[in-house]
Amino acid sequence: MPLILFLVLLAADVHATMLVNRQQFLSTQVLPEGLWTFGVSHGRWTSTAGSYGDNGKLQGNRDYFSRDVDYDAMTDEISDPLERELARAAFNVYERSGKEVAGRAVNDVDVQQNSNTYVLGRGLTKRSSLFIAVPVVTLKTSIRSRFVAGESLNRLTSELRSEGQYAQAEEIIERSRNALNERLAETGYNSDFPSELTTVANIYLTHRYENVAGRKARWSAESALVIPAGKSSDVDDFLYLRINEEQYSFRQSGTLAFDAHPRLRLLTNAYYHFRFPFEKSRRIPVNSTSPLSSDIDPSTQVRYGDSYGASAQTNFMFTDSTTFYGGVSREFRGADKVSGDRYSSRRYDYLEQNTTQELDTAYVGVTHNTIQSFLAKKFPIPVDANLQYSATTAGKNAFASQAVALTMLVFYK
Amino acid sequence: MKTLLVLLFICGCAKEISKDVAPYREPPRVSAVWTGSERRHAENIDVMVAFLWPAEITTDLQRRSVETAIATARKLKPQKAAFLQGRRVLLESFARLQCECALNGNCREGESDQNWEECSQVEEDMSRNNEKLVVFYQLVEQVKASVIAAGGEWLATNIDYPLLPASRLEVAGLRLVLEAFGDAPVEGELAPLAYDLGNALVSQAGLRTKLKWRFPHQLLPGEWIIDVGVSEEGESLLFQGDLYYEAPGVLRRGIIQWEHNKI
Repeated sequence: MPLILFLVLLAADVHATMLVNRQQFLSTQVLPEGLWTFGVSHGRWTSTAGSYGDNGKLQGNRDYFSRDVDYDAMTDEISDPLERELARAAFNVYERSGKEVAGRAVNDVDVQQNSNTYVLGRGLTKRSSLFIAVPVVTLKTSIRSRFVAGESLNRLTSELRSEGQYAQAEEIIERSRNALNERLAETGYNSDFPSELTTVANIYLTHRYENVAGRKARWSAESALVIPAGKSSDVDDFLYLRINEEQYSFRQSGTLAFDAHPRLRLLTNAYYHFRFPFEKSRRIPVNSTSPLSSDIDPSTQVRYGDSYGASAQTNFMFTDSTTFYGGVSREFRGADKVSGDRYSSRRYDYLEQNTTQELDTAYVGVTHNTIQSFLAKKFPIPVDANLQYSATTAGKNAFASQAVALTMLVFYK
Repeated sequence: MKTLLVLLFICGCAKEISKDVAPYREPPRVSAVWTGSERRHAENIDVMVAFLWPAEITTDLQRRSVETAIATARKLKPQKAAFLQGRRVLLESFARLQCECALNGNCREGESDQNWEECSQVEEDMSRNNEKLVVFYQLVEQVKASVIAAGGEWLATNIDYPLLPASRLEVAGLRLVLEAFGDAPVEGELAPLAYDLGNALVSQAGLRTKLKWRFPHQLLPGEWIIDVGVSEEGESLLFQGDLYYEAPGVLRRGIIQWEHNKI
C-alpha cells in the first residue's frame, strides 16, 4: 500500500479492490420461490492492529506507512527542473550521495470504518435467488505526518550554518516543517481531506443457484456483478479514497456443503474476482518513495489485479434455529497493471509496486433465525440474525484488522 | 544561496518539525549590528558577487560547471575570513611593536624604533597574508568562469570595475547604492550600470532580518529583486540571499552576496 492511503471498504458483503477483512458466511441455500427478504448488516472495522508488509511481517501502521527518504528522492520531487538540477548539484558538492538517507517521513495512520449494508433479495425459482446489496460506508481517517531529519541532513544544516548559510539552513528546516503542505500546494493537490466521510460504495447484484446433488451434499454457484457507485476520488485529492471498485467487475464463486452429522455441516468455497480494465486520470509518481506528483496522465490505463481465494467453514447446529460457526479463508490478489503513454513506463510501474496481496482470515459467529418459530406462530416476524467476529491472521500488503458485523434479515411473501 | 535553498525538502511529508534538528545560533539582527550605537561595520561594500543561474540546465557540461561554481563559492567566505583575521592580528602586532616608527621613521612621542627585526617579520607576514586576498579574487574569477560556462549571467560589480567608488549600504534607511550592477556596451566599450535602490523593505523571518529591494532593470523590461538575510561572520557583516530577474513570462534566479568589513 502506498504512502497515500488507499482507503478501502472492508465491510460486510462488499469487496473493494483491495483484500480486507470482511464478513464471510458460507451457505448454499437459496430463498424459497417468491419469498422476499430485506436486511441490513452493520459492520465495524479497525486497523489499529497494524499492517502486513510486503514480506508478510506484521508491523505497526507507523512503520508500515513511514519511509526513509534519500537525497535522490528529495531532488526527484522538486517540480521545478532548474531547482532540481541546482539541488542535485548542491548535494554533490556537499558530498551527499543520492542513495544516502536524508531522513524519514513518519506517518501515523489510523483508519476506522462503520458500514451499513442494505440487502434486498427474492427467490426467483426453487433453486435460484437474486440479491442486491447497497453498502453505505462511513470512514474515519486520521493521518499525522512529519519529517524527521537524519544525521546526514542535520550535519548538512550544521555545515551550512558554519559557512554562514543561515538562510539555507533555515530554509531546509522551514521546508521540512511544512513539507507536506508545501508539496501538496506545489503539486496542485486538494490538501483538505475529510476526517469522516459517508458514502455509498459498490453495489452488488448477485445471483445464487443451488444444485442439490444428494441428501448430504449440495453445492451452489454465485455470480456477482459489482457496480461502482458513490464517491470516487478526484485526481487532485490528496487522499485517494478507494472505496469502490472504480470499474465494473465480476465475481464468480462456488460453495460446497456436506452434512457430516445431523448437527454438523462442513462447507468450502472458492471464488475468482475479475476486474475489467479502465481508463482514468491519475497522478504519475516520479519515484518509488512518494506518490505525490504534479504530473497527471488523463488517459492512464488501469487494471486492478484480480483476486481469488478459498475458505472453509464448519457449522454446528446447536438447535433448529441457532447455529454456531467458524471458518478460515485464504485470499490472494494479483498486481495492479498501470500503463500510459505520457511518461516513462518506469514511472507507471511505481503505481504497481506492493499491490500484490495475500490475506488469511479467521472468523467465528452465531446465527439465529425465527422462521420455524414464526411458522409455528411462536414469534411475530421471520428474522435471521447473524453476529460475527473476524480477525486477520496473516497477510501481505494488507491491513491487520478486526471486525464485527451484525446482520438482520426479515422475510416476506 | 538559491542553490542551497534548493536543498529543499520534500520528502514524504511533514507537518511538524523534527525535534532532532540541531538548534542554531541566532544570527545578529541587522538593527543591532548595522545601525545605532552598536554599529561596527563600514558602509562600503567590500566584495559583491552576483549572478543568475542559466534558465535551464540540460547538459553535463552545465551540471559540472554549476557544481564547480557552488563548490568554489563555498571557499570564498573562509578565504576572505582567513585574510581578514590574519590582517587584524598583524595590524595589532604592527601597532603594538610601533612598526610605523621602526620601519618608516614616523615616530610619535614616546615611540621606539628598536623593533625593526620583529616589524620586518610582521611586514613579511602581511605580504604573505595579502596572498590570501589574491587567492580570494582568483576564486571569484573561477566562480565567474563557471557561471558563464554553465550558461548563467555574471553581473559585473565593483570587483570588475575596481576604479569605481565603492558601492554602499547606507545606515540611514538601509539605502543600497550600487555603483556597478551589470554592465552594457557604450560606444563600443562595456560600462557599468549604476543603481540607487533606495531604502530596503525590512522584514523579520523567524529570527532573521531580511532585506528586500525591487527595482527596474535599466535596459530590459523586467525588474530585479534582491532578497537577502544578514549575519555577522568574524570580521565582516555578510549579506546573502537570492537575486531574481522577473519579467512577463520570465523568472531567472540567482545568487547575491556581499560583505562589509569591521571599521
